[in-house]
Amino acid sequence: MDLRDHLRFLKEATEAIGTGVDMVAIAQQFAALLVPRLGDFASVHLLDALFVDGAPAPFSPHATAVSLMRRVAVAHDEPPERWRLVVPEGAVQIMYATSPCHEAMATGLPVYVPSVEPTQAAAMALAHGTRDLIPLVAGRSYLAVPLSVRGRVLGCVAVTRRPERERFDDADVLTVGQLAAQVALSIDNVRLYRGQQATTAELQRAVLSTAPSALTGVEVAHRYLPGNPEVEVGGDWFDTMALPGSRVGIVIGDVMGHGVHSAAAMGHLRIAVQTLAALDLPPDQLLRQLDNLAQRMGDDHLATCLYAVYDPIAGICLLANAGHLPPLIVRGAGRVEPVAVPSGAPIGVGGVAFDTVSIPISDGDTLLMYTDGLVEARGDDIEERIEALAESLRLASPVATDPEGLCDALIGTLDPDKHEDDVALLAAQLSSIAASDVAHWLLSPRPAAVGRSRRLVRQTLAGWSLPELFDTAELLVTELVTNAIRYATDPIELRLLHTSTLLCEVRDNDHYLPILLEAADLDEHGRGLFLVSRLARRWGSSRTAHGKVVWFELATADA
Amino acid sequence: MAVQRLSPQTHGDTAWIEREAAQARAYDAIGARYDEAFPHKEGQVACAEALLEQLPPGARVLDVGSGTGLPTARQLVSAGCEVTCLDLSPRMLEIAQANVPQARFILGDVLDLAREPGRFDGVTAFFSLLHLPRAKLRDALGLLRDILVPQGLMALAMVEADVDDVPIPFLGSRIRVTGYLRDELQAILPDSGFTVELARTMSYAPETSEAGPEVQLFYLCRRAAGGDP
Repeated sequence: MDLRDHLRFLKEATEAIGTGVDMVAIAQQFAALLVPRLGDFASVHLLDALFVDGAPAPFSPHATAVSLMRRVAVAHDEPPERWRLVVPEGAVQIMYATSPCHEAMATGLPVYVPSVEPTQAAAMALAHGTRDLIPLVAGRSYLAVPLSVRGRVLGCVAVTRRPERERFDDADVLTVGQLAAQVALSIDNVRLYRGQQATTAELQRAVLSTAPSALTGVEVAHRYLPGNPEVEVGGDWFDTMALPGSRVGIVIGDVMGHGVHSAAAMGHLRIAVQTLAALDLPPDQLLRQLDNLAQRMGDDHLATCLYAVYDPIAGICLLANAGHLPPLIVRGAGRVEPVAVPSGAPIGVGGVAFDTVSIPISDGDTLLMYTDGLVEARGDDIEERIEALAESLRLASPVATDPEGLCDALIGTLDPDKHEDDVALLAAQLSSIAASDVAHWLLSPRPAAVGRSRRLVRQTLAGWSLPELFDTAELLVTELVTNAIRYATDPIELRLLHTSTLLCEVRDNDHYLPILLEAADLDEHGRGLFLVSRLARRWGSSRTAHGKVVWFELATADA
Repeated sequence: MAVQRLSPQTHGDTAWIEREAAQARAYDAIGARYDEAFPHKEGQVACAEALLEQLPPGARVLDVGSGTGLPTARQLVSAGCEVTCLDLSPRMLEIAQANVPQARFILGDVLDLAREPGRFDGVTAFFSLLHLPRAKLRDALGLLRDILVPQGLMALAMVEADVDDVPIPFLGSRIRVTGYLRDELQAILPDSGFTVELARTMSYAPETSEAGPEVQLFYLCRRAAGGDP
């Protein structure tokens, strides 16, 4: 064989094999390259376990030799049907000890049989289960080369030549061995890549904000661009959480560092914030608790975090900051203001106090929170960067009137090739709830509170022109208030909120959350929450810093 | 103008005196933040307006729990009334003096007012009597009735609730509050010698996280004819 021709073949073959992203396609490419140039027949076998997501390749070659193998590629120079039934592609089998492939995998070394003896051919056929195998192997020179990489054997390739053809020489063995190494590497890369993809997809699911359905008063849009598109996960996160009183908690955070490690730390913090937010803590206390938790979890990660609580009834937004970039507010008429919130220390530093600031919100204002990836390419000084971002917002806001449009406009200003850091962006358009749609009372926790609550509900629903809800609302309020006064020692709070639905909340200072029980026919208690779960559109309960709140929501005719 | 100080009529009751001192300290601490948290008092302004429509020119009006003097004392002064501001908190009274220098000022507890019949043509008590326990609140209503001229008017505002003297967090302080539901209050007022001429209920949301939304009850009442009820 001409050396130059041989080198060209090797180069082209290596390139063809190296580009595959699919194990079977790589193996088939390999088999096709071998025939007829290096053999009259070739078959490629891979560990069946490679086709199961997340399964690691066995460490010892011997383990591979006795594992289930899948024949993923067959190539030969005869009519396509000739060997299909004898050695079908896709078949899964154990590699029998009679096959040279078994030895090759068990030792991790190539096995060369210059001519398969009739007795060995018969033994192979016996193990294989059909005498039809004999003509495929008998008298042929047989080369079995393991597909090994990084100390592991992933499979094997078998190449044979008919007796009339020249037998394999050293150069052939080396050539097949060279290509097999390349194939093994490519297949292992696919395996690793796929494993990484599965991991990142799993993490991604944890990252992606699951916005609570029907967030009254807030329209949210968000974007997440991983800095490294291959690893679609980073340390940035955001969340929106429904809180009692139609308030909404909004968080954005950024674990310093990159990759899966930061993503895992982010996952911890994200869940911690959700749990703490459900306790309805003021923002500064939430960050303080988060900092404590981060220390106890032993994560040596630092994270910046900004937590906001929007109250659509009071028309204010409370914010506390742990070292994160300050948010921007797009007011009416395209006025953009940075929010003056003390920068605070990052989560993980420990022992520092945070401050809550309160900013007034008008109907339709948009709160924009982001991570530093959004501003990293906008100048050297952080103040300049934020000002540049504010300028982009000023330009965008007259055109982009909704949060989605604002996000698009801001992402559009990013240089797609330049951003190296993750970019997370959340725009929340805040609408207010008129005081006339809210009613709130303190009631002494005594039996009379039940009847009084019913009366207040009826009077209030009459004022809101919701007579169709009288009966259900009174019934469910009765249950909630009855439950609340049973253990409360301080006045309970009853709140009604009329938006596209009717929301009713009852707070008391008892910490035990109610449990939904199936009441037996004659039970006096325990029927209440069952009723609530049946008649309400939604219902729930959550612990607060001073007790608990139980709520239900009824659909209104106009919703 | 000098501030008149009421001396406690309940000398022996040190617990009560200490309680009222605590309420006063809470409002001293709240100070001007009160108006920031409770802006846009359309309901209160409208209720005072209804009172003014029925008062003679130059009427003598007592503003019980005058707070910062805004909006009510200033509204009354602007309408030509001779206004007396009464408040328990020295700090609040100072703010009111700056806001409404034309008024007279009394520092003290409404229950310590001298029972001088016919001293005022009108009384306003916006969200002030709710700081008294129910029993004292009834006493205060009776006292206010007595210091009005016959057919005198009172504008009253309360927060609807069913509680008697419970402590609640309020603008960073703790104050004790009392409330009635609208039906009960409408029964209590006649019992205290007032006829309800106007009643209005409205929801109000303070612009703060340190106080919740509330249902406000506004009444315009007239001193009922006859002697003590």
